[in-house]
Amino acid sequence: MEIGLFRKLNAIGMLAVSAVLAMAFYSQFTQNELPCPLCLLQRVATVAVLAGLTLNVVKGPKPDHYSLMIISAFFGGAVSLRQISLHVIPGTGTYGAPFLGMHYYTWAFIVFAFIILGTAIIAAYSTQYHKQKYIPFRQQGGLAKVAIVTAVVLVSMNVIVAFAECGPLQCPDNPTSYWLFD
Amino acid sequence: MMSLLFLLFLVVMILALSDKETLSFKTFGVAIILSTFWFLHHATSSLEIQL
Repeated sequence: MEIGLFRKLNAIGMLAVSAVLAMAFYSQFTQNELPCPLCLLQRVATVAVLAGLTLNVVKGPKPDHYSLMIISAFFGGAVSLRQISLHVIPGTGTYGAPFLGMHYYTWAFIVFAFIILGTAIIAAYSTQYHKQKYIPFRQQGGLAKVAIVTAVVLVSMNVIVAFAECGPLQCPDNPTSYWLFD
Repeated sequence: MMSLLFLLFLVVMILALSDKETLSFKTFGVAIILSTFWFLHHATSSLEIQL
């Protein structure tokens, strides 16, 4: 029962993190704001967190899966902090339009901080680590299936959109158009 | 390069779904090292975004 509960919590976590990626896509396509290299690296870190959550949902919660999530969120936090530091001094400009009073890289730092905090708290419940069992996709519950499909679709979209924007090499620092359509 | 990073993490997820945990861990390790390398590449170069 308890093991199932923690798998469900991880599936909910997958949906929440997927919502962050979906929000980034929404901003990109509706406001035509192309993500900069650091913005894309923050998305990479978000996808890496999703990979850890996927392992928890499919294989069952394990401390090493939670470690992957914390490492990923730490990496994302470092990237977003680097971008905040570029713009923190008054008069140094910003990148992109603000959302609810803060820029996306600031929101990203807050999200990664909460992921680290949340993961550290949930990982402390040792009862979830007993009797690990692989559950194939077909035998997963409805919530887990929706979470996995949503995550895989969003990550696949990131592969395609990043290639369309940057091509096989380096992204421009201040992108204004898609490499694929130039 | 950026799409390769996304692709590697997608592979991690697919390996996890295929019950290949050890391989997914190794792929994760490669992906996070490459991501860090790419971050350092961008962090040390002089960015031309609106400063």
